[in-house]
Amino acid sequence: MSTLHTPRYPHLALLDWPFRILPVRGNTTVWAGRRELESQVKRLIRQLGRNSVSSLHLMWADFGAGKTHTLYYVESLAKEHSLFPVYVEWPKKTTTFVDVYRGIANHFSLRVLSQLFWKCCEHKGVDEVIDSVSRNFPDFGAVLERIYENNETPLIHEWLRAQPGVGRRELATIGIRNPIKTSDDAVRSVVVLVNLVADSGDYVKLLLMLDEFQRIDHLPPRIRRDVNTGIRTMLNACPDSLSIILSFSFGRPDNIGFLLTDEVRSLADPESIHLPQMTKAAAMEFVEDLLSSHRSSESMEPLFPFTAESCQAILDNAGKLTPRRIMKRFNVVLRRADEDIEGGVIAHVTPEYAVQILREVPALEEEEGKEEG
Amino acid sequence: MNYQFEFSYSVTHAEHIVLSIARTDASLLPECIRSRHYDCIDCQVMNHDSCILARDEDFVSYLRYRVSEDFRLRDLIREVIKEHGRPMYRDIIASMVRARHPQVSEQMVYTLLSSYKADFKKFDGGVYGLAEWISQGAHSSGLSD
Repeated sequence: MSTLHTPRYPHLALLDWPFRILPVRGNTTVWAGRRELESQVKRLIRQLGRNSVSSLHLMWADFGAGKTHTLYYVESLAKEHSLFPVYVEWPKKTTTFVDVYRGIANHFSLRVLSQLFWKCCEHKGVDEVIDSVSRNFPDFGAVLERIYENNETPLIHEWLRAQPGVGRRELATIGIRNPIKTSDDAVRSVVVLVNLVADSGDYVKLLLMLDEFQRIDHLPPRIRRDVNTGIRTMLNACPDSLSIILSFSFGRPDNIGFLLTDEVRSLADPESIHLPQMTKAAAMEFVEDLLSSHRSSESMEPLFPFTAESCQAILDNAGKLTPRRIMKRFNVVLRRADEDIEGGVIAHVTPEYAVQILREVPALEEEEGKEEG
Repeated sequence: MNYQFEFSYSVTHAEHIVLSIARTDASLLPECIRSRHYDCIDCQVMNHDSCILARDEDFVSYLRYRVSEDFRLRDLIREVIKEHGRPMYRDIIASMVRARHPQVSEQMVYTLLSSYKADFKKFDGGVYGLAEWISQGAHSSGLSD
């Protein structure tokens, strides 16, 4: 990391706070430790950007193993590889595929939709773009006509996001006959969006990341089938220009098979991404990478203000080595050490100091028990 | 203490009662079901003279087997849910159990999920998890999820 910035924590030789429990959305470019996984993710994104063939990928992670951070990282990488990333957290309540669709449509503001439309028109001409959309989904064709006429009313976005409460009479004023209500409507709308992204010329494909997909394990069989059918139909309708990553978080990776229908499972890429617990060595590398990516001075000891021994002591306390558990503990210790080092009470974090602080925060274990069952 | 249970009717009825007790509170099972070594003299079932269990040792052996099988299946369901780490819909639990033991019926899994109330908790609709998750507070990936 650059040394040009003013460090926020000069006494710790850190530019910024290194231990974050919640992943930060946006420009997630920091990857710590787990080199093999990093190369697998990078290779996948590179490959997705090299051809337009549609695909389905499965990602499994142990609880707190960094699944969401990995998807945010994929999101950042995707932009460099001509992929249009759409990250959707699986809704907590799902009754049909339309609930998932809303998350997808939220990524397409009127501005984005309009930009994609005009880009497509540059390549294919207005008439062809509108006609080809209208043939498959007349209401979406009407939407594009309104955009062409510069009549970009917010009603368009409400219709696109399948907002309940938008009446037919209202929609008729902009030439739309029906609201998006069924899973079929939602899939047809996704197909149009995928084609707009691909025909814009700026992107090879739309990369749809469905995070927390394990939440479908709370759904009755009928809704699970509807969701699976939605995914299958989307891929069938888009043999090109769509890649989907489904991410799951639960105890056993092979349980994924119980949540997907045979039809969807058969479409999945055989090389799935796994984020298991870390080994001790991998956890040390993870901590060192995190600290070095926030380091303000290159000459500093890589683990400062920790030592190899104090890191070991903290990792011993974590038990199950997942990024979340590790960062929680390092966060607690560093928060205290921050003041103590600045005040000259200690020079660095010793194992005894770390253990003492962790002993004073027994709630950590309790919370994790609740989180991980 | 007197048992409020009676084993004086049919064998089917007796089996039903024994399994119900096993699933509710195994410590209340008559001693003949809990152990191979028992003495009816100390037993305090309601009608000792008409007790089917006292008259048929083979039937008692069979009941002991049924109870132990019931416990074994309960433990298997527990294991499946614990490994998954979050509550899930009951048909998924049944599929996971049947993937390991195909002879177990889906209905049997459903019955045990709803009967062993000390082990399993119905979270929402047909969603079941471990009862201990409730005592630990809302499960992050379950109810609060």
